[in-house]
Amino acid sequence: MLHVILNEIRSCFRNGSTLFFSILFPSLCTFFLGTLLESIEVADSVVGELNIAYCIETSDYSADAFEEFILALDEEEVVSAEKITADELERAAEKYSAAVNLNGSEITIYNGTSAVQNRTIKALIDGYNQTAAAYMSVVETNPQALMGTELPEDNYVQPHDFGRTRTMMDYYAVAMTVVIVFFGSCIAGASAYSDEYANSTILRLNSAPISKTAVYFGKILGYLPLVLVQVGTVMVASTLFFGAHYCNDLGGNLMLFTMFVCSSLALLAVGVLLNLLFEKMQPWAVLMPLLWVMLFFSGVFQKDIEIKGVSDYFPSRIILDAAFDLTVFSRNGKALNVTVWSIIIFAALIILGCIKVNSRRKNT
Amino acid sequence: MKEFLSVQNLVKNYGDFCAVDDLSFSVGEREIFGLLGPNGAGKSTTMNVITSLCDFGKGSVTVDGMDIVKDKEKVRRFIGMVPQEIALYPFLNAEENVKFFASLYGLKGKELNSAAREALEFVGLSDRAKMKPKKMSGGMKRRLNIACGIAHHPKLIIMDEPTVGVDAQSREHILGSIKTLRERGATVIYTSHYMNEVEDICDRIAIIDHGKFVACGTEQELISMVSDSKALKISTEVRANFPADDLISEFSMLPNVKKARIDNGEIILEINASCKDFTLFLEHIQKRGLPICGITSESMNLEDVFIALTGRELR
Repeated sequence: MLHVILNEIRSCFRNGSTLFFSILFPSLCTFFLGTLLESIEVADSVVGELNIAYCIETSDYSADAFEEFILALDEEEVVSAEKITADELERAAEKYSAAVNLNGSEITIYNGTSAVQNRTIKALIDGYNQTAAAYMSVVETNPQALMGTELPEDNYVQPHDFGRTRTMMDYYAVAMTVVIVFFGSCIAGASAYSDEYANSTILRLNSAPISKTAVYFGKILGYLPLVLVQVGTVMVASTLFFGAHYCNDLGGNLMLFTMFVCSSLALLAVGVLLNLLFEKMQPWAVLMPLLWVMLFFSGVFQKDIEIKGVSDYFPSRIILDAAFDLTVFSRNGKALNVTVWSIIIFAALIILGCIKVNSRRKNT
Repeated sequence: MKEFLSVQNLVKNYGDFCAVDDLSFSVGEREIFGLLGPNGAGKSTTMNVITSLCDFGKGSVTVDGMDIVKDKEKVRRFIGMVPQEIALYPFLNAEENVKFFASLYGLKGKELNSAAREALEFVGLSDRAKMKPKKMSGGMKRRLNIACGIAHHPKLIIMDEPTVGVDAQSREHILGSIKTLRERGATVIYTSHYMNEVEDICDRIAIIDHGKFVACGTEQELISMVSDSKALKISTEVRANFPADDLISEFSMLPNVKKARIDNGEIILEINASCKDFTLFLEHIQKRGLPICGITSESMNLEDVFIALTGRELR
């Protein structure tokens, strides 16, 4: 069996197309996608200074609350607010970014000429509206709860910094590792026997005094170094050469590496089993398009592209989610799940493959 | 000659199709045994059964007294296979290819290295040991294909058209190598579409068709199964007033002569295939004062036998 393992290793690492598609291509994809799509994070247009006119045509408690909200906005550097009369509302659009009128329980926004500023002001007023609705809900259900409640301070909302600003390079470093897990391993596994058929070497293997089980395990174990190298190379190359970040600590990165390797092994076993079921299958022609579609709709190439209700069940999406959960939020629960399930799937498929190998009709 | 391979009442079906139908033959030790048959005759199936590449329905096959089913692992160690297809790994060089396939037969260490070296030398590729198959010519690939099948010193070598698509020089080298293998103690089963190759190297030849045995024997035995005569053509100068009819009836009376005629100044005798002494015929011509300008003997060849027995050409 050792000779079969060594033969597989040699064949893998001397095959130019395997090396290109398994190692070089995903590393380059990380670089090019990460660099070229960096601009996605930059706003298409600047909102600019907001000059808001407001009018209050009511005298109940909501008038005070609304005016206080507007004046609080006025304290921001880029927002200025000016009170106007109801007569001026119609012409306010010429002078202000937008005008807002509170009349009873209704707020009307008179749009200005800038669509971006209109959307921004709408978002601000929506925020006020949601807060007001929340207070009203408490007032109606449990007014006593508000007794003695202190108003929140100015710094009530605090952004939490995870210690690193995530870039598109970071996104694609993870996403391309998922790509390599699928392409590199699944297609390599699916070529395990079809290459032997293509080279006619299956005749010699099957007539040699070596069991089919030994050849089968030799092939699987022979792919192990390729799996380790392809995942390791993409992660290391993305980090060292392209400045991408995975996890914040070594433990997290090891967990991530382990998850990717275990997923790769499970997909390798899937590929080998498919090849045993469809002996002369051309993996590049059959599996490649299927994997592309699945990866595409899993948000690997563009995070917003998905099929609602379906994409969440794609293995690629599950692995991607687990990887982001680990890299961005340092939560390892999903990654652990993926790792354990990958090991279970790998073991189960290996056993099935072994049964299949030994039950094959000998008509080669 | 000691019997080395024995195939008895072999039957192999693919669904309803009977590929091999009650086939029996035996091959002696150190014999080169030719297996001939048209496409779909059952040659490859028979070879696949012997190499245990496929199961069979009925019958028995023994190699050196061992049953290929009961002693599969042991039998496989004795067999070397040279398939019709070039069965090589493109990313391994010649030496690595030979070593890998030999290692499957339990060779390792120094023994493996020397076996690989010897096999490459045997096929004349020792100076190309580090060359990968994709850079080799068709003939070199064929020779490497053979080296991979013989490196582990098999006692029985199965060769399925090992000279397909090779140049004359490589073919000569391959055929010479097969004879050498026999001299070294190997038994060879050989199939080819080239009749002259089979005539040249095989000790005995079996012809199978529709999965059944048609004939088996040496080349001469096969020829005599189809025809027991050959043509002897004697070129001479027969004058216009020469009593040709007398000469013909005179020749017809001679021993071993079946039929005689004169055509275009040539005396054509149909004689027994076993007749090897032509002195008597020549003396009769000289007695008549006719010059002898040339003499040719034409007997049936294997191709004629094949067509006569199977009704089809080999290719």
